[in-house]
Amino acid sequence: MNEAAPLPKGNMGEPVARIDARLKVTGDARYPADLPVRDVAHAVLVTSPIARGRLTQLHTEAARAVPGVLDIIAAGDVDGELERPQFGNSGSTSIAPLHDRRIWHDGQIVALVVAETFEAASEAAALVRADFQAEEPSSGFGSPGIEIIPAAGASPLYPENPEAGDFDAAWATAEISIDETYSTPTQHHNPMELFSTTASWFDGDVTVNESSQNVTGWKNTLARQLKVDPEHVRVVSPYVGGAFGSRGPMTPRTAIIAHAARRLGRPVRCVVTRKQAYTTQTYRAETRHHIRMGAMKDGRIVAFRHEGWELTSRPDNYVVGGTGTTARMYGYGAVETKVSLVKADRNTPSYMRSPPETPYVYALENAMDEMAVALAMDPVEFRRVNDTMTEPIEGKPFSSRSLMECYDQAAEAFGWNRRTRGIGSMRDGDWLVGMGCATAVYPTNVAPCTARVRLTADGRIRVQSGSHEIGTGIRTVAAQMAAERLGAPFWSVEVEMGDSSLPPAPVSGGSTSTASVCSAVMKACDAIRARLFHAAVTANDGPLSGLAPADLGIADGRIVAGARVEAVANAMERMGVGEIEEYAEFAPEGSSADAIANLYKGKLEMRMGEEGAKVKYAFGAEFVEVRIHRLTRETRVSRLVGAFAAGRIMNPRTARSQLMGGMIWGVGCALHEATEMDRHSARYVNTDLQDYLVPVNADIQDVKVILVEEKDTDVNPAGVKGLGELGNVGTPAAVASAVYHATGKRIRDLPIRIEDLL
Amino acid sequence: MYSLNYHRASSVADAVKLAKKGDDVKYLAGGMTLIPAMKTRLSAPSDLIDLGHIGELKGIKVSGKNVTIGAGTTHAEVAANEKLKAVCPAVSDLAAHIGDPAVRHKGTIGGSIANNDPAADYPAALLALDATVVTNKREIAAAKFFTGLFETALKDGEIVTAVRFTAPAKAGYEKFRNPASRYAMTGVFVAKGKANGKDDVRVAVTGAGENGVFRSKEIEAALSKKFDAAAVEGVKVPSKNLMSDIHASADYRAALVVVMAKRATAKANS
Amino acid sequence: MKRLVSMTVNGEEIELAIPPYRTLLDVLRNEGRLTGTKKGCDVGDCGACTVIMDGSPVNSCLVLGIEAEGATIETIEGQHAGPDLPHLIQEKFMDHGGAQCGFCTPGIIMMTKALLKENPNPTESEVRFAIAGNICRCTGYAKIVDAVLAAAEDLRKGRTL
Repeated sequence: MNEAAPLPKGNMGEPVARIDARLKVTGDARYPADLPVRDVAHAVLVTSPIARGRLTQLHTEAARAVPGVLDIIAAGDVDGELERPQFGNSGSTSIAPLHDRRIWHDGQIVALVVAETFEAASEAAALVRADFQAEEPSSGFGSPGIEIIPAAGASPLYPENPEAGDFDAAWATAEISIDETYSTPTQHHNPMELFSTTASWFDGDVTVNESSQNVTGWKNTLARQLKVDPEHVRVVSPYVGGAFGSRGPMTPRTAIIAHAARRLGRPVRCVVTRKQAYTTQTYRAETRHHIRMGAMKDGRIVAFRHEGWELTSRPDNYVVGGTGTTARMYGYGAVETKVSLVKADRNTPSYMRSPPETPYVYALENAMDEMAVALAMDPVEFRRVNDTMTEPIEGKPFSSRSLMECYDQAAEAFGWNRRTRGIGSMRDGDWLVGMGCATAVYPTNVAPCTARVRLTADGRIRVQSGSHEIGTGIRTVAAQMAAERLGAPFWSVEVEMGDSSLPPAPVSGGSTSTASVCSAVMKACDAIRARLFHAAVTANDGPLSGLAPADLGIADGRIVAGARVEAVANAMERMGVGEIEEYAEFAPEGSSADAIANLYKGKLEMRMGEEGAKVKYAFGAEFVEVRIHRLTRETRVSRLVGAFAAGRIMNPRTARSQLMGGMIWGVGCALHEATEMDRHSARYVNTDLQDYLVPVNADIQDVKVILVEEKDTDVNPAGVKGLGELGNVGTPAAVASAVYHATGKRIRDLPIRIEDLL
Repeated sequence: MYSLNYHRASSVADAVKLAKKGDDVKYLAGGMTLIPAMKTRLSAPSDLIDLGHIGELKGIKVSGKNVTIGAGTTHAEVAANEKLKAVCPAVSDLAAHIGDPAVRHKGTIGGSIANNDPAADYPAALLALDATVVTNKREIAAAKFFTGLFETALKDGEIVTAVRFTAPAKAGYEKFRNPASRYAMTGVFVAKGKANGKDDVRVAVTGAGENGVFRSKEIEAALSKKFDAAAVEGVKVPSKNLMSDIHASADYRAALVVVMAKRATAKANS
Repeated sequence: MKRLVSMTVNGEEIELAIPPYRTLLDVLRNEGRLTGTKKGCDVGDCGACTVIMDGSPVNSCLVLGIEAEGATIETIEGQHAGPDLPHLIQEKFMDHGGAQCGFCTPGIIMMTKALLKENPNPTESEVRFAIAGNICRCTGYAKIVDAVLAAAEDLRKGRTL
């Protein structure tokens, strides 16, 4: 047992190594652009250099003259053959780049060049000349010409602003109050795998190879755009080189490439440059927050108001509305919230790792630290005073909440009691040392899911579910669930995922996959067990005849009841079968009667954490130590400790990977990541991995993840709370608090830059 | 890039001859700057003359304190050379921290100085060491070689063949790196040698000046009095003519110059 | 105009007809049919395309295929201890969970091999310095570093690269 694979505690699974690790380390795992496709033609996007206006003319003569060019598709060329994209429900935007000549944002697709080689297509694309009627664009917050609308009701994702009690009255009674604004920047997912689409048609059926978090949603969305029946569309994505939300919504490019292949009569592959992905894919929109918090001297928060502003495009109302979470996080007295959308000449944003929590909890947890300082209270104790097992908006209980357990375990491992309260009171040579902490939270969402499991007489198991291995380890935990339920060794399980021809699963987003997929796999396995057990107990003359099925179990390929056993293979032989296969559907409590039918159609009914009789969230506590050079103000995170409680942990190894990767992501969010804009032209400036600062091999030597035991049978049958988006939520505020502790400077706008500390 | 003729030169003379044949010819050294430029179409040569297989451009010669580095020597090779480390470890240290490992194993000193990227490390070393740039046509003092942002004294077709300098008694280099990217935000090379029998302190700054590498009179004055890190404390470097960009303001760079000079001096004395 | 270029890839001498403008990365992936080396940015920022050329790790997206004429190239596909036996480094990456989405993995493994050939006993700091040019968006690097140090430890115990 090594550090990577700690001993499991309580209701935790085995820390088995990832099932597909070998393929990844040998280079044999194939991502969509790796697949050899016979006769494939290559496509390159031509995009607009202006952010607002109209395309008046496209000059393609020089481009067409490049040897090897096969086709150039531009606005107007798709009328009648391609439907316009729709926003929402697996579509990233309603902007229809090859239908309209109107330019909605910088880098909008204006044409597609298809050629024999990638280089010929690139060369030709560079020679396409576009004429525009340019207008002055609105680039973001504070720009002239933006439109501000209330978010409540503007999107089905955010029907209303959560509230409780009389905020104004409570605010008036507060003895200490905090009234501050915070902000988070534009960020891009920048997964390592470049975005690409490869489409091949055969006899009226199209296969699209593209990394996706939502193969079933895409299949349906694509079919509609291509004007074909969904049965003719297959989306395949067995390996995904990172997603973080970027591969959930389908962008207009996918249908355009499928259409190009249909038009050309040849398979077409388009690998989007990293630069072009900034404007043709999605991103995390910038946000602003105004928080008012009123407390009594004993630390109780009596009034909490959270107002947020989020940027979106002109045509599409994308909203994250993290007030749904912040309004419920502590035992506040009165709560008032409001979210507004700011519409500008930008591409439509979408979800990126903990979309509502990252910006909104950053704001709240900063305010919590500011209040703790104002109260002269230890930040951990301040959370303790305001901890609650009942959320303040509707008074519903938490199905489980181990927040203070997380704080206490993390504080101890971190050595929080060594912290001296004074600003800049801790030093190490030329370095100021700061310590800070913050809460991490993520709702336990769960969605309908289906799966098919097959057990063969020789003990092999095959699990099929159209979920997506995006690096989270879902393939591995699904295999573990099946192995456990069917009493087989882990290595005997084969898992097929990432294909829309498999039993559908929900989008791999909202951290629903482990809970949803494992619940469906569990159901299918239980159906297999039921058949086996029934056969065993009703046999005329078997070793388990006459027993009650409830007394039976399976382990090591044998059906057991105390001392009585029968080999699974024997039971199957008596049944006259070589295999048992079961298909199962799982719909969470509260789902509509059409939930599964809708899942097949790509319409997802996700049950959110705040819905239902009990609210369901995973919690954590993160502690950060920063070191800031007294002269250069170079800031380094030297230590990170996070303790997290997420119900049943299927695999401590993959869980730790997700949480550790999440915390380090959070550090990048605090100190580095931001997409910069030229405000005048509304164009992104740092559109590459050199100037967009993702955490590179940072100096964070010391990262510790503690998995806190927690049992919750209310969240879903598997008892699992998603944690892929938990680790990164608390880190930015913890870093900001640590920076304040070291320097006395409260930086409320992310990322925290050296200049802010001078 | 799409229509490209490639030629592999077997010698410097061969390279010069090949270069006369094309319309828009570029020499290819490590390619760490040229290839990305070609991909983004900032550069679109018709012909590439690959200098990477020319034996006479490779190798490091150390004779007493005299050092000659072939223009085709990679940064990794400069960093690893034991003889160079023995006489001028500051240059080894500088080379060992250029870019990242993949860049260091391909990029060359000749290619780097011919490009004169304002954030590159070598120009600071060459200026502080009072080095000589040797080309196939002549010898140019470093002070005359670097003429501006991305500009050098090289004439069309001229090829850098070597860099030559005398190792000083003390030298040190320190740069402040943008936390996540590779380029120096500000790098300072300090050297204490002898000129005309007297102590000669030279301090060259890269990654800060609007016109590329420059010598800091203020820091040289301070270190000439005492070649000690403490002597730099409190020196004010003017922020006029320093770069401002998304990574740092001119004022901040001015402050960094002082801090880097201190650290470089401490290294030189260690 | 395509040129016939020969190079040794993973111990095998091959001859490919390639256009001068094509990068080594694209040559390996297209003409060479070796898709284990990945394109993550195509401009030398991410390290996903790292291969070993004449003993040195390089970003193959910044090398022209034609520059590699006569060169000896090692890619991820060539790394195995025996038929169907993973290489020492690959084994450690599997044991330590060094690969999550797996896209950066081939590049990092090749850079690790180059590091350990030059320095079989690196400190943690030296490991981090060596992989500084390889970006990973998933793992946060800790497990990668653990895997590399574990491989180095096995080298000390007598295993070979």
